[in-house]
Parts: sequence; structure tokens; C-alpha cells
Amino acid sequence: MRFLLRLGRTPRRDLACGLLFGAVAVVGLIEVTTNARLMDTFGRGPDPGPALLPLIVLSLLLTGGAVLLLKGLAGWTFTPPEADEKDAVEKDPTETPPPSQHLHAIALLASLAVLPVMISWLGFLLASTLFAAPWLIWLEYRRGVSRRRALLLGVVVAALLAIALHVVFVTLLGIAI
Amino acid sequence: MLIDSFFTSLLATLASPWGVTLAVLGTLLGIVLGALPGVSSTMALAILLPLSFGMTPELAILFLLCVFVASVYGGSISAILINIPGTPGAIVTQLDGHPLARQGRAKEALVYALVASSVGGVIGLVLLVLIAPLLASVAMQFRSPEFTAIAVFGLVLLAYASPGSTVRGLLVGAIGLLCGMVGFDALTDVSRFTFDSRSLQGGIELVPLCVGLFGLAEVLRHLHALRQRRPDVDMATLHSPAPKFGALAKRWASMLRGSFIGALVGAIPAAGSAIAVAIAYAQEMRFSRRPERFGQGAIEGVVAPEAANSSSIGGTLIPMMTLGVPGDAITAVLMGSLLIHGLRPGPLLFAENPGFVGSLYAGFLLALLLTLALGLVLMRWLPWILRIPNHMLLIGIALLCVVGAYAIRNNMADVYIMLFFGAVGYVLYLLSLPTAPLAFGLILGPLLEENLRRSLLLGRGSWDVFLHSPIAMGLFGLSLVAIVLPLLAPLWVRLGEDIKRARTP
Repeated sequence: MRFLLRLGRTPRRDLACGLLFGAVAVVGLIEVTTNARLMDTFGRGPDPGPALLPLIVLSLLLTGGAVLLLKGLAGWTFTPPEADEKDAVEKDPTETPPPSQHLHAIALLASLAVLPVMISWLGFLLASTLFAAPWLIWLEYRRGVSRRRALLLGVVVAALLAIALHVVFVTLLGIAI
Repeated sequence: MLIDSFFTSLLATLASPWGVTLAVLGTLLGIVLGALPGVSSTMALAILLPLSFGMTPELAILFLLCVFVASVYGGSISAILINIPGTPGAIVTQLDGHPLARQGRAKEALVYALVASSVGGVIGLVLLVLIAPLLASVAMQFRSPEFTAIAVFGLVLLAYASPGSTVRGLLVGAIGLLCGMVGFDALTDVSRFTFDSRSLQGGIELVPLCVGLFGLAEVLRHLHALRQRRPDVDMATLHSPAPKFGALAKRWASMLRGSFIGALVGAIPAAGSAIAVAIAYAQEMRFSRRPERFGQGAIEGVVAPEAANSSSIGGTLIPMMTLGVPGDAITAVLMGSLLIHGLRPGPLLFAENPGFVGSLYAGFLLALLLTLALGLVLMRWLPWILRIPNHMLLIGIALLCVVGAYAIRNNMADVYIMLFFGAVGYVLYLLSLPTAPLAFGLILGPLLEENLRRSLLLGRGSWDVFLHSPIAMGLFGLSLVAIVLPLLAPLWVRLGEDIKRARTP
């Protein structure tokens, strides 16, 4: 976890980027090479087939990922930890986001992932109000507003947002959500 | 013919109450969203894109162009009033705009910015009208090998200009290319990268990707920083007298220089407005008799970058409309709108759909005129725009992203695809990787694959077909230079320093 939170440091970032690109390339290569219908077209007849470009792109991605991984490993091995730390702070002290940023991002993503299910149960108006209100109350409260005011503002603004989106998308544009 | 359809479209839009309403609404939204720090023009366009699905292509492009043009001016409002650029293109405007506001001349700075932006926009439009048909007619002579090379060159150049290293940008672009291959292959009907999921069989649409990448990912990035309050705007500075017409006209040289730089730099794929404004500002300093005033409230320091910022819009539309290569992330989102309406930008657009091209030009002009008019009318209320609490805006945008992604095909699978790309955008930000090449890869992927396969078919399986095309080879060579140059540049600098050190006794 600590490693992930300190991705801003260059060798660690290289390692993480290398792992990301490498993982995408490996998953992609497995998907392409195990797809019999796709591989059957490869190199048969005048059309190079739909496997050609994926294989070229995945090979480049794998090579790039491997190079970054090696660069990261070399940097991690040969750079003294103190120098790495000092260098990173001097380069950009704000580069590493605080852990609360990740928590907020994950919580928002999770609540948005639940929203479509809530919409199918409760309808758009109620579900979007229920999604927005807790967020607005929390963010208002974080800004130093009193609990009662945050609660009131959060609920009212959430309802207004939901109504505005309902009017625009459902009433005016006729989208069946 | 193009001029005829331009005037026909302009008159038709002006005569249609729905068209005028949409244009006014788009301009208002563009000014407001562009003025708000944290909402870039790309984000504004991405989150408002779903509103255009139900419109005709002409009205959709009119609405989006109004948002685009107005948000470019909107970006300068916060740069001048609170020293925070609303959009990346306004980053230079704040250098002299905010000192002017601190001297009690905010209204003056805003009027100069608005007029320069309008003049720059018109010059960008004129260059677009003049250059685009010529380039399109040249591109009509291109065959598959040339288009393959254009796709590769576009992708490399877009990765080159993205923040961070070119190679990393290219690798992100490669993931974008893979995203473009998801679903059934058009020629053989073989499925690729669907992972046995029915939702992926139809492929990945550009819109949920853009909404996730440029909309939701930005919300995820900015959500934690909402505790910070924006600086308040001094209302008294907006009651200062506006500059007279004569004073505005005196700045014609700065406006023209900025406009031409903006349009020409903008026309280079991936160069974008941020580079254009920086060059315009630097040139203006060079031309100035008193360069020491720059950074302390020089009017030319506001006028030239704003003209360049706005004229770069016309420039970025040139590669998009003539070659089908997006000029930057904003035009990538615009391309998404055209693709949704079944219009593929490229040389054929001019031949097959001149009416639409004319209405795009008309929409652009209308957007510029409305931005000027509404910008002047709204000036006294600008501080209120900047008081909109960011947290309410971001939660509203998050909801808008969900509804917008759903609205594409009335399908919740698109919402999850949007959420996935929102998360991807956030991870890319954590890894300091550029996000825009992902969208470029998705757009250029089909163009690349279709033309690569067709070229190899033409060459009966031989890659020599590319060797026979000097244009394709030239573009491949330039792509190689763009990749190798950033790798060799540090070595070159180090070598120079070593030689210098060796020479000094």
C-alpha cells in the first residue's frame, strides 16, 4: 500500500508503469493467442487478418513495459534511498497525492458503481438524490460548515441536481433512464 | 458551393428559435464552465456531449462549438480575476491579466481578453475556411499506405506533445489502439478482446471513454481538494471603465500576431493552445519596446495570448476535418460527437457532406459572435460565477457523467465502461501518464487497421508497398524522429556540457 501511495518517485513510477503496460500486454496476448478463430486468419491468404495489428501493438506494449520495468529495477537498485527521497521532493513536492485523495476517489467510484442498481430499483430521481445527498453533506461539512447547515444544504442541493438532470435528460431529451 | 452552404446554414440557424436557443445555452454553459477552475474546455465538452445525442448533426456541432469557443474565453476570466487559469490555454493570460485586476483594471483586462479572443477566433475561422479545402483536396489523392502513415504519424505526434515522455504517451496510445479493436472485426466478423462478455461485443464507444477519461477522472482528482476555498473577487475592480474602441483598435498588431501564431501552431496535430499561447506571449515580449512591463500588467500580455488561444481552435479543426486526425483532446471529443451522428471527419467529408462543413463554419462564426455579445453582457456577474461551490459542481458532473454515458445507447453497460475509464484516468494520473493518447488511439485505431490491411492487400502481403510511397516513408521517418529525439536530446545536452567543461581551463 505504501508503495502505491508513493508512486510519484521515479524508479517506483517506472516499475508501476512497466507492470501496468506488461500486464495489459500479457492479458492481451493470452486473449489473442487462445482465440482459435482469430489465429486461424493470421497469415492465410492476401488479407493479413484481424490478428496482425493486435499482435504488433501487444508486442510493442510488452517491449515498452519490459524496458520500463528494467529501468525501474535498475533505478531502485542503484539509487540510494536517501538520494531517491531527496531527489523526488526537490523535483516536485506535490507529486505524491495524500491518501485521503485515494479514499475519496475509491468511495466515489464505488458509490457511482452502485448508482445504476439503485436507479433500476428506485428510479432516477430518488436514486440520484440518495447518491448526491451524502456526498454533498460530507463535502459541505469538510469545508467547515456546521452539521445542521451541511445536512440541509446537502439534501436541498442534491434534490435540485436530481430534478435538473431529470428535466433535461428524461423530460426534454426523452431518455428512458 | 461551400460559401453558399455557409450562408444558408447561418441564415437557417438564425431563423430557427431552437438553433438560437441552443447556441445561447451552449455559450452560457461554456463561459460558466470555462471560468470555473478545475473544469477544462475538454471536460466541459465531454460532460455536455451527451446533451447533443438527440440533436441533428448540424445543431449538435453548433451547440458543442458554442461550448468550446465560450469555454476558451471563460478560462481567461478566472485567470484574470483570481489568478487561477480556468483552462490550460489561459495559463499565460494570468501573468499580466491578474496584475491588471490588482491595479483595479479588471474590467479593462476582461474586455481586452474578450475582444482579442473574438478577433483571434475569426482569423482562425478564416484560415480554416481557406486551408482546410486545399488540404482535403490533397488528401483525396492519398491511398491506403499514406493513410496508414498519417495514422501512425498522428498517434506519435499526439503522444509527443502529451505531458511526460513520448514513449510513455505512445504506450498509453497503444492501449487506446487495443480499446479500438474490442468487438467484432468488420471484415471477418471474428471477435477480439471481448473476454466472452456480451457488453463488449459491440466495441468501446468513444463517448463513454471520453466522459470517463476527461470528465469523471478529473472529478476523482479534484474531489479531495475541495476544502480549499477560492480567493474572493474584488467587486470594485469590475466597476472600472471599459476601454474605448480606439484603445482596442490600437492593439491590432498584437491581436494579429497572436492570431496567426495561434492558428498555425494549432494546426499542427497535438501542439494545442497551451503551446500557441506561450509562443504568442514570447513573441509579443520580443516585439515590445518595453518588455520589462510584461508580468506587471502589460495589455499586450493579455491580448496576444488570448487571440492565439482562440485562433488555435480553427487551427486544431484543420487536421481533424481534413485528415481525420484530432488536433488535440478537445477535437477528439468533438470527433466523438461527429462519429455518433454517423459522420467520419476526413477528406471525404468535404466531398460527400459539403452542407455539413458549411454549417460547421457557420456554427463557429455564430459561437464567436455570441461569446462576444454574452461575454460583454455577463461581465458584471462574473464574480458570481466564480462563487459557485466546487463540490456541488463536481458531484453534479459525476451524476452528469453517469446519465451521459447511459444516454448513448440507453444501456447501463456504457455506464460501467465510463466508470472503468474514469478509474483508468485516475490511475494514469497517479502514474504521471498522459490520458489523451488513450482517446487518440481509440480514434486512430480503426483508421490505422483498415488502411494497414488494405495496403498489405494491395501489396499482396508485401510491406514493400510502403516503400513505393514517398509521402508514407516521409511520415514514417518523421514519426521515428519524434520518438528518437526525446531519447537522444538529454545525451546531446550532456555531451555539449562535457565538451564545454573540457574546454574551460
